[in-house]
Amino acid sequence: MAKNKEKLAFGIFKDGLKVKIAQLALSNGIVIVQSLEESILSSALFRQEVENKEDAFVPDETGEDEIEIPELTEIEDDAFSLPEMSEFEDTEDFDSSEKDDMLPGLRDLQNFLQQFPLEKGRISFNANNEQISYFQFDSSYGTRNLHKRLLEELLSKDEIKAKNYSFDYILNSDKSGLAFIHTGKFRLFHALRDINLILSKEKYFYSCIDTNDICLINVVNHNYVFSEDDYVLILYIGFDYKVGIVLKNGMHIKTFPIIVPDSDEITMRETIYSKVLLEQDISNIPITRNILLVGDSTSDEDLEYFRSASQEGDNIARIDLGHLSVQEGMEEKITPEKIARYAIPIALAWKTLVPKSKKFSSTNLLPNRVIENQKYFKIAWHGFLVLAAIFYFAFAGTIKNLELKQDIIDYGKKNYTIERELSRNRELIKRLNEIKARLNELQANLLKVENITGNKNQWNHILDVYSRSLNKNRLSWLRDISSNNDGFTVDGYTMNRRAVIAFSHLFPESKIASVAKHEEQEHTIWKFKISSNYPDPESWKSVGKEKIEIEKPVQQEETEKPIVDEIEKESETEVITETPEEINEKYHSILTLYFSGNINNAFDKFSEFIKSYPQHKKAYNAKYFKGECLYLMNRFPEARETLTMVYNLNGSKSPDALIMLGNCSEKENDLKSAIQYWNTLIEKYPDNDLSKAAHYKIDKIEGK
Amino acid sequence: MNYALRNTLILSILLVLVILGFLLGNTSSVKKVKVIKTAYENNLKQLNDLKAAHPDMKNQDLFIQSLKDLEEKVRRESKLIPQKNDPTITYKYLLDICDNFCPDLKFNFVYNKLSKTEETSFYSFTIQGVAPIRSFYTFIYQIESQYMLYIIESLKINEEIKDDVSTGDVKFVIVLNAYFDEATIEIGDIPFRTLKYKNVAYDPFYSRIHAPLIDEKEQEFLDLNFSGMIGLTPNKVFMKDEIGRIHILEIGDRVAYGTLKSINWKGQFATFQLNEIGINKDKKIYLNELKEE
Repeated sequence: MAKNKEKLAFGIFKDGLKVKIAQLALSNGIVIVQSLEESILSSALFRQEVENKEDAFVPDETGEDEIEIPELTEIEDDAFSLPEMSEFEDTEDFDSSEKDDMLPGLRDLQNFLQQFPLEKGRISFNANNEQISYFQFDSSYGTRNLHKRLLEELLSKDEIKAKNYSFDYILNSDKSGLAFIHTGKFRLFHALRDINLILSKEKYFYSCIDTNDICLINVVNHNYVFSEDDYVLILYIGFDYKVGIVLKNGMHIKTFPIIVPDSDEITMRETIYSKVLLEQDISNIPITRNILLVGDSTSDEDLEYFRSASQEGDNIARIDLGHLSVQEGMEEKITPEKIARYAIPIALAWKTLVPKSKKFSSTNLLPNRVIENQKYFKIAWHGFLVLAAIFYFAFAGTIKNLELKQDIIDYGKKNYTIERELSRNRELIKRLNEIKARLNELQANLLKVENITGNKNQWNHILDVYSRSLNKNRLSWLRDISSNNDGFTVDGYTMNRRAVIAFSHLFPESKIASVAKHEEQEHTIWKFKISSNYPDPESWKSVGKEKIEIEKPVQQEETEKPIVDEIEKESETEVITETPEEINEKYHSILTLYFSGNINNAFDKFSEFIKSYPQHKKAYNAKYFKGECLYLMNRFPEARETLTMVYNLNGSKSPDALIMLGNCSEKENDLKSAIQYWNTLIEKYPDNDLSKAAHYKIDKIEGK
Repeated sequence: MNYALRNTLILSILLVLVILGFLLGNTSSVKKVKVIKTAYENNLKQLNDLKAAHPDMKNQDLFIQSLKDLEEKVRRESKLIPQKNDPTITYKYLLDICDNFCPDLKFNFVYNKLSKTEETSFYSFTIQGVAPIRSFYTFIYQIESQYMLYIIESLKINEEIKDDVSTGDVKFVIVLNAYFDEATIEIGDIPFRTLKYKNVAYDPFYSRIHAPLIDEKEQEFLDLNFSGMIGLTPNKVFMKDEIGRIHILEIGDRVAYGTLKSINWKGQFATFQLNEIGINKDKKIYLNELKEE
């Protein structure tokens, strides 16, 4: 698992004919030195390198001048995950003749590099120091258009226009800094590219090109912290590259070359130290206070010499990269001295592994075009064009799709509504048809029954009519009733001849068949015979439903008016013995009983009175009071029936009956009905005192 | 091939896929829209056709009300023809009516014939009996008002008189038809209708005039036929009966079959109101002259 997360970086440092490689790995946040190797090439990498060694500014005929001006570059993090490097064939020309005529140095480099899995990691390398020009600038330069002004300082207008350079600078916190420019082509880069084609199908990924000075400054700043006033001298003695770099507070102060003659080690050490002292004298800076030895002259003997040569209090040490871990189990042990010798390639690889570290300067001379061409997801203008087309079609297609979906939803909704209505209407029609069928069935049944029944089966009505009529004309009576084909015939007697006329109007198309004088008990009576058709049942049923009809007595001759007309003949043999006054007295005695609170007794007496004297004028009042009794006895349905009858008679007690009917409904919690009764009272009898009471009751219920 | 070109090619393929995808997707949506639109238009047409074919659809409430009214009418007054009927069922039915509503009605039951109208068969019976008018009324009221279809085909009623005296009952002869139809409902499904009580208020056969009735209670009072006026004051009448007893009468006092109605001091007579034969009759008796009007 941990191996999978391991990231590799290779720092390649070419110092003259000597090439050093540091292989570092980043595993779980720890930078590990895995391998440090060096090799000395038998020759330069390219012929031009030999021929043009002194002419760095000659434009390269291979097209290297096409490289764009590098900006302040920063290696992208995600670039680490890219498995392949981009192709350069179409951007960097490749001279096959040059390849065929490969120099031994290039072959040596190839042999040396093939022991490293360069394709599995990222590669950084140093720029040829001979092709680099430095420019130290102070804070007076400011930061406005700094890039442009520095370029103009370092190059002529023609050189800038030729674009055959790579430029970068470091800016210190006090706005001073160091600018550097590389001109000509990166020969090591071209060599690596060529070797890549031979060694691996996978493309190498190039991360960074730094100058040697920057590498040393980076590695010191990353590992040491000095006081602000202390000067630090980095003394690097390499194969060709031998310099002293003065730093103060992590900022570059100056770089001075050290030229050492080929001689024995002791002479060489003395020469170096003399040069340092000379430089200290010239610059008048105590650069010997802190000296860090880096490069090939970092052996214990070298260290011993410099310490012995220095003054007391000077701090001279071999550079110590304590933050690095060393791969265990290696054949050749990696000693601190070796690490000091490989400080530059280590710095290159280290920066590649932790590009975001603030202790490493963000400089990079690797042409921007190379960086861009290594981006896996790079999109060119035509790519953007296609992308725009994708967006356009996606947008347009989505809009169209949404419109269609909306149409589907709209039509779906409409359809749902219509289907529901359709379904409802079908249900309705089905129900309607059922109703019609039921209606037809009922009507057919009714018709069938009506056809069979015709006008028959009305005998109860016929008897009822004659009973009521004869009750009003008590000097008349029937002898028999018999049916015939179309109706019926009534035979009877009367002492009032005019009553016969009234009888003949009781039923439709009645005909007086005969009226004959007859003597009985010394009285003259008239025997009559009336033939009638059966009445239309609808005519009397509808009337009977609506209200109780009060039949008016037929006109009688004054002399023949029955004396005890009001007295009902319940028991036909009963002899009428009570006078109207006595009946009145009886009524009032019952009324006294009622008002004394003896409701049950009063009810019985009123009922008896009504039964005994149904035609007496007080019977109407008795009916009303019977209704009141029933109300007081909480027999509301019966009370309502009785009071309705009283109300329908349209007499003096009708308003009283209405208010009592409302009271009955109120007692039964049927307030709507109660209000209806009282409203009827108010409408029909607005001047009656009871209307005020009705108003009051309605307001009380409605909570006004 | 560099990454930019490769990415452009990938994007181009993606573009083609996007275009194809949307084309296919939208084509499918267009088809769906077409289908659903067609369905909508068909449904709309069907709905309009339905509405056009059933203009009375909006009047459902009216139909429901008509149905309710009709059902109410049937419930209230119509009759139902049973699937089956026979003399036994009819006799039992009539007895049930008598037992429940008019127990004092007795009748003779005679089966006449089995006939048929256009569609409906019926049995014909003759029912003959005597009963108080109220019982008879109840009897025919039940027959005529119950659900079961019985038709009183003919009827004859007259007052029953025995020894020239009315018994107070009526004699009746009814020809009753009992209908049945196999296409209708089970007799067991025909309920018994609860009818509101109804009866005649007055016996139309009651003879108002009758022969003088001998009433023992009336014998306790002064019989004007066998007495005479022996004295008269403006307020009192002095009567002497057949055994010589003197009766002093004031207005309203009872005499046999009547009362003293008035005294005419100037005319020297008293008027009695009598009811011996069913109707009231004034009788004037003059002082000393024993003159009767």
